Amino acid sequence: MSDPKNHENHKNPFVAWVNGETFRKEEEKKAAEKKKKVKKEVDISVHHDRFHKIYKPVCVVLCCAFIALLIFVCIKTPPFGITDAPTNNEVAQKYIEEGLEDTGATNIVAGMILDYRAFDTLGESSVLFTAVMAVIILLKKDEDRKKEMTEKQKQIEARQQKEEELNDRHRDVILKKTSGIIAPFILMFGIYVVLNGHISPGGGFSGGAIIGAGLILISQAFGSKQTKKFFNFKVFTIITSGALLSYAALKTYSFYTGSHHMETGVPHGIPGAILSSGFILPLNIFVGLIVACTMFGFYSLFSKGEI
Amino acid sequence: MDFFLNHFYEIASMILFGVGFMGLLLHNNLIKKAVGLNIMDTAIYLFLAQRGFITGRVAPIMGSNLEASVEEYVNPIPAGLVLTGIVVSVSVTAFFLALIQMLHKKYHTLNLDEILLKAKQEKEKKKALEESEDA
Amino acid sequence: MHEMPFVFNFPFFSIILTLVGGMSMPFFRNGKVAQKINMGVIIATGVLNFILLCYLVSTGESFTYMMGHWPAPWGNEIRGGPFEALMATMFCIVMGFSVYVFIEINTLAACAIVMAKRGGETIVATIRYLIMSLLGSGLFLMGIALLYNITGHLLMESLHETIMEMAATGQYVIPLTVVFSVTTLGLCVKSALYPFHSWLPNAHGSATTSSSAILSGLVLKGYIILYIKMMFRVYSPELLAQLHITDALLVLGVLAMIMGSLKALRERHIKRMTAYSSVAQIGYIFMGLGLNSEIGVLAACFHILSHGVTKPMLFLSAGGLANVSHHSYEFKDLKGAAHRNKLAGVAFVVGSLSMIGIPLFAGFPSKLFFSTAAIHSDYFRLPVVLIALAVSTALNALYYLPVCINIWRTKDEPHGHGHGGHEDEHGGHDAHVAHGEEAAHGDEVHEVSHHEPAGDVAVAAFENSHHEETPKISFGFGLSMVAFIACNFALGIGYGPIMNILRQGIDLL
Repeated sequence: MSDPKNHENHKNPFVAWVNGETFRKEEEKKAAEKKKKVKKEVDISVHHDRFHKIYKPVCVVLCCAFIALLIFVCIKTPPFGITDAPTNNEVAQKYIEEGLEDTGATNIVAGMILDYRAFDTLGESSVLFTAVMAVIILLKKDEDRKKEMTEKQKQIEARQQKEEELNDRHRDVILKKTSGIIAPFILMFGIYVVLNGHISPGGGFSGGAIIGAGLILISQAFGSKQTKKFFNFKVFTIITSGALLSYAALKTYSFYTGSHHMETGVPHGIPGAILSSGFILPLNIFVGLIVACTMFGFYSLFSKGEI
Repeated sequence: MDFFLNHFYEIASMILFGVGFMGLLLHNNLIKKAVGLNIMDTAIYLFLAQRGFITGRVAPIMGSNLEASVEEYVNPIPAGLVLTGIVVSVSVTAFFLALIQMLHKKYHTLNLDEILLKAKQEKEKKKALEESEDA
Repeated sequence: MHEMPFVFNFPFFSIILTLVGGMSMPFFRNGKVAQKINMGVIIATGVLNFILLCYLVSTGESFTYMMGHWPAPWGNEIRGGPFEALMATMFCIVMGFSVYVFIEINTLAACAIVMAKRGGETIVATIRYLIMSLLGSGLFLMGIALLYNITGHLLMESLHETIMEMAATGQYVIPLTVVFSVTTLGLCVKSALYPFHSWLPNAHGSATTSSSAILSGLVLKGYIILYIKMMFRVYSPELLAQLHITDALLVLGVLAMIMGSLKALRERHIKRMTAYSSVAQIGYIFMGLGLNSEIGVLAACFHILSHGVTKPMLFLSAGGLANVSHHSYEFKDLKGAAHRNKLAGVAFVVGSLSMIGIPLFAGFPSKLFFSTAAIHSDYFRLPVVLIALAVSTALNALYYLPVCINIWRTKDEPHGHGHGGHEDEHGGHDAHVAHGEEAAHGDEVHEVSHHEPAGDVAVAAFENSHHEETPKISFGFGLSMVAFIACNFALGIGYGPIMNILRQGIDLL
């Protein structure tokens, strides 16, 4: 019934273009040619056209020029290790001189990131949280993912599972024994680092990483089934989100009182004692929890696709 | 030579930055790209960390000596900055690696060119299939 | 110490609210509850920012809010002014409506946005986006580190003071130039200015509908707003002009305007075309910044707003049109799609007209302001900018109008899903065609719906389309489309007051 109109379309290239049909013929031709090519080329050399040939040298030259420029800039800047560099200004002085008094932490860096600039750290923790969520979305094996898998993938999956079971039965004895002795100490040391973050080197981030490493070791040596007994996805979610929410709640209170020039009502305690420096100790614990869970979460998502 | 010694760490970090930058741009292997990204970030941390150092001073953590004086400790600000940077870089790297793992599962290769080619082929195949079904 | 008005707490509340909202998401097993909470957070943030905007405009001031117990050089502070409040309000509105339409992705985590379905193509696009974005942030970070090296500050005010001092004494001229260029370059890469745009169309081509709406309308704008703030609060425009950085921006902007439009002209995929159009529009904004005059910056800011309400509308309506055309974004399949989803068709036409710059639509005042800014600039920039504007507008019309005609073709014409030759066999009934096809290759269609952006909503809509000739337009889609159209007209007609607010905001930056 629309014969004449169709005819017109073929006659009038502009109408055809508006309809999105102009390139059809050309595209078909191209596609046909490409099909031929595709059959021939297994190697990727065809893909390297002229653009790719000049791309690399140009890139190298540009990068070298960029490095040279940056080095030139560096030479113009103040030298290394001097006392009166512009970076050593009144801001750094205030942190060192009044840090203990203001925050109660003898570790000035901890006082800085968890009290003076706690807002940045809150942002950081949320970035970490977002990354874990993104990785979970990408890699976690859920029902949807299983439906999408092809037969071949399923076979591979089944084989891997079998291998894992075999591994579980015949775990390396040396690894098992050694990590049985070492792992508790690693976890203990991690907890120590977290709890002493405000009075000695360390803090939530480093301590959390140590705890995470201990968990990874346990999972490697004794199999994921063992870790799953006390650390499954539900626990993971609760700990991560809960710690982050508590962090946000504590900091909201402190920000709000701070901006209204009120006291928080939390004593700073005796400098150097474990129970000192106000909010820094709980904040360190929360950060440590988040980091430990994140590290272990990354490991098990990457290796097995599940927590 | 004098300026070279004075700016040793800065120059090193700049070269590292360039190396990482080039790695990110030039390598076809995705894992190498991720490594390049990490080198680039590390260069920036080196740059920041060396900025905070002052010859003859110690880390800003008070032991038994609670009477702080500015002349004893190095600048704490770069340390905080580096800490922030590391966390962000860890997150980005994890995301990057997760994407790479997915691609590898799908195309069984890590070469970006090959992956692009395969994706293109797949698309064309699908199109051709559709059109033949239409006809 | 004087008592601070309660309104000044609002930016702080909105930040905490959004963060807490995001963090608590894993606790909700039910997606619908999470969606509702998300919506509530967005609405609350929008309302808070709107109240703040009204207050600030009426008093005409800006303020700093102390995060914690310590003032600026030591602690964190938030600075708010009419400019920030206006932008935040706009973002909330657009976010709200985009998210309302398709229940797919709730995070604004820059990259996670591109991927939502696990097609290989999508991941490749994501990786490209990620690499470009990382290069950009690497450059930006390096620039900041260098700046810290020579000034010893990281805060905008103190940086500004030190930089002005250095510029006056002629100290560190070369490092300053390099720092400015490196940070500018980094932000340009992140906001997809012309030579660095290559990831954008790919990302859009394979992203889900609302992801592209948010990505194009808001994420890119975030970097531009950061650049504008840095321009005024760290560098000072005069210094940038002196170092010829604004000239570079002008050239890149003009190039982007022309090249983006030319590339869009060649596209036959509606989303990729719209993405290339985004490249051109980003070019407009950078051109405005490069004009090196206050009115140029104002025009750029207004364009951020008008593009921010128009582009999401275009993407959403394109998604709506594709949903009734077998989830295909090719022009040939979209023929007559507007008759199947009238509202989306109307919205697409409104968006197109606005992009072209027809009076009464949001695009018109921004083009007017760009031309005014050009006339106020010097003899060298005047012809370049005016010619670029004219050419780009003509090109805009050339690629948007055919699509509008195409989607509104009359119904008796067969809607082309296959070749021209066998179309008439199917007759004119869409439903008939759909049925026939489903019978022929049901699996195939299913596959397509998996690979093309398709959340549950889309699939549901698709299944609807089998039973009814015209699928019912969902309430959310209708509401947001109407709201976007209304926003477009509001910006196009009531640009006077908004311009005043912007001027006030820029003065107070």
